[in-house]
Amino acid sequence: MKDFLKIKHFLNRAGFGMNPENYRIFKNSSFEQVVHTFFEADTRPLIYEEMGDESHRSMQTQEEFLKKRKRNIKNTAKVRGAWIERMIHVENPLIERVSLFWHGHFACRIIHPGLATQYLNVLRNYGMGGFKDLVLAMAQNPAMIRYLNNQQNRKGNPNENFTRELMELFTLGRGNYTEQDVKEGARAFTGWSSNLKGEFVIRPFFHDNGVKHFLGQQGNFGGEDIINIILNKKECATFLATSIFKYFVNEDLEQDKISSIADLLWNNGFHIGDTLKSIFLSDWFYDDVYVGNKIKSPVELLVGVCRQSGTQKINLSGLQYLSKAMGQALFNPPNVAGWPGGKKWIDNATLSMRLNIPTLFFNNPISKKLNLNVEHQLSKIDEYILDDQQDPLEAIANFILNSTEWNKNQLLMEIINNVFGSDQDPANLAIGLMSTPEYQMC
Amino acid sequence: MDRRKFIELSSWISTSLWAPQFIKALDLPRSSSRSGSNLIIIQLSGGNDGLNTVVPFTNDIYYASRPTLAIEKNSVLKLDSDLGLNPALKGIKSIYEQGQLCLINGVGYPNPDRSHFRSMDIWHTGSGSERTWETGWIGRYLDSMCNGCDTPHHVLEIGDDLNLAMKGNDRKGFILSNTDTLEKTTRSRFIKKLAQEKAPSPHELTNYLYKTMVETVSSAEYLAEKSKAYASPITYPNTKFGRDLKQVAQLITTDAATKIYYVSLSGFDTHAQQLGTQTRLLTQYDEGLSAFVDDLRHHQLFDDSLIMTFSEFGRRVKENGSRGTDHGAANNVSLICGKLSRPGIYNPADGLEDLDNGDLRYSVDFRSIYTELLNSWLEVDAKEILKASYESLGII
Repeated sequence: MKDFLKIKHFLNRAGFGMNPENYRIFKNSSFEQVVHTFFEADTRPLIYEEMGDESHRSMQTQEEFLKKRKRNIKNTAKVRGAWIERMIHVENPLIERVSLFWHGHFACRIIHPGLATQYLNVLRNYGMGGFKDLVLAMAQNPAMIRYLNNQQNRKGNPNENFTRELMELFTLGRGNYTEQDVKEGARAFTGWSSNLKGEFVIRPFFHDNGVKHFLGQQGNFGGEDIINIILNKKECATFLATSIFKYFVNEDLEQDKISSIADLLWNNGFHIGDTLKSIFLSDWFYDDVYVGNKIKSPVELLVGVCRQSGTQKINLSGLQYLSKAMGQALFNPPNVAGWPGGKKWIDNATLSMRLNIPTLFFNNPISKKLNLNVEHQLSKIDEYILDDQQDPLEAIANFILNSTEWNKNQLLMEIINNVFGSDQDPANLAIGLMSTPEYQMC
Repeated sequence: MDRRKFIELSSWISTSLWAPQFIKALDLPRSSSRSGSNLIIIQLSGGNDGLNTVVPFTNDIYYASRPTLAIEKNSVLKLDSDLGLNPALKGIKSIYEQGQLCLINGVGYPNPDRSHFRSMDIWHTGSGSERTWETGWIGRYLDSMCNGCDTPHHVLEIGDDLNLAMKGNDRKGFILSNTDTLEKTTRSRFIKKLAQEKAPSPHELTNYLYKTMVETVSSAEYLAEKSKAYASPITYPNTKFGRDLKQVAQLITTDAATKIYYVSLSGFDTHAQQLGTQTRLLTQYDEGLSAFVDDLRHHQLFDDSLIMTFSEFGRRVKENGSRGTDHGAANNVSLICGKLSRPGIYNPADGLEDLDNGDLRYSVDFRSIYTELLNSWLEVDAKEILKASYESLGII
């Protein structure tokens, strides 16, 4: 395969890893061609989930309320499952991967299926365009408004939660604004609310129409104005660049690279798609130091195992159970700062679980708790990826693992040769390799 | 795939130690001398209703606010002239009478948050309601390089998911549901190979994964060995909580190199039909804890074991329309130990006349309790770990 290592690295970071189909299709492509192909986006809304009308809510009894809540939680799990299923099956997962990034950035906890779908579709539809539009869409998103209590933000009785997190976690970062800015900004967002039909509404009676002093400017600002002012600060570009670098490139921040990404954003009107494409087309992105140096998040790991094994069908509830057990429940981040990532994914229990994922998937254990019922194509793995010239072990290991130096781990080599070398079964080999610490890296 | 082959495969995979050379199997202390004191934290998850746990049985407002939920004066297990315990807490009452319980009323923090997640995070991290911290107070204790803190299971949680309280920047607590299960999933076949591996990974994070794996296997073996050596005449109740505390006892009494144990009991979020649920849970709590305390007494370790029980918030004074209560604020905390400087009721309970929007006001910041535990019991610098100073209480 022509640009094999580069294409693999790109697919790891912009998607959920390389599957046998990718290998077949991109065999003779250059990595630039693959990047360009991936940026031809697919923004179909995910699924249509009935928002429902909660207007009669105040008349429900406690029991009815609890019952409805239970049903909502169950149906939100379906939305979660639909998203994961899409991550597994869609040919071009770029949008899904970028949406996953945004879900961590604009962290939100949602227990209603209509609101979950709506929130997710905002991320998917705005996530590759201008950052300003995305921020505004999030500020007007009912799920986000409720999560950050902006419903309670009213003239004369402000609730600063949303405004604070907007500035601290979504756009500027601490140290780039004052407490007074938070107070004043909150006044501009007063009345930004949602109704029980899941629609954004501005309640004029609650909106503060006075003059606000925000980040050195003054005027009768509304929420949109606040966002405009924030996006006119270079610090916002730096903050966003840092977030992008940390997620797509390296946990260890590098100021010079981050600066150049910030410049890109600043000069192209904060266009996310163009910025990401530029990063993925840069030579430095493919430096050895950035390849195989990040710990996969639980969703990346699980979806990656599915894609690499050509999984056609899997029990989505079981998958969600595993994802949650490893610390990542979609639509349920630990707090508004999202998922910290890196080493924080790993403790003795989550690591044991990660190393046992292939056993759980492919051994079809009869378990009361977890029946994944995986239908996969691992036995065909050699058909897809073995060239005549290649050593089967090397070919499969290069396909499965992302570290450039796995063959220097002599113990690993010994075990592979002893256990798998004897029967030369590529499926066994693949499963074994997926059960290693090296496989946790991407 | 051939199932037999796969079983063989999985024993290799889930247990083997594929570790670079510079990571050696851990040398864990096997000495028989007593290692010192233990701290046991019991978390009641969901927001236990404090007012029905420590009952102000002479307070008219209490009875007026809870026409169906208030505990009858005659059923209350009286501690003094104004306060008594829920009738389910017979064992706790006995511990109190022996001067081995300190009850702290009105524990909370400024600007209380009534969300389970936020409030529990606040208790776990010590952040206060304005900030979000990503490390737990016990995690930061581990980071502080205390004596023994580099033992992987220096802090042990009994459960399935490691709580935020135990996550530091560099170090974390160790989690297991019980030592049997843990050992089964980490049986080692390659421990001898460890020292022979020549080539480390070029990436620091991959090495971190190997290190964690090595530690998990070593700790698993060690803890299972210790558990098996346990001997005791005490019978624990056959509840999950009872079994969890028994697991803790197995390790304390055999002198496992663990300093802090963390156990949870959930289900306290009683928005509806509170009486039955809370009685059942408090009974489980009382029976489990009593057996545990008896076990510690039997092994003469009760003086060296301090048990703290807390919940992420209390509940509202007035009952709701579903014979339950909604999320509140301040709650009580208990400290139990064979030897306390100030046993008994530490401070007066809230008179219920001056509520904060229907909720109890706090008078003791929970971080004062942490300060006490860190400074006086664990003998580390509380100020550094909690990132602020709080008044000490003089209980320990």
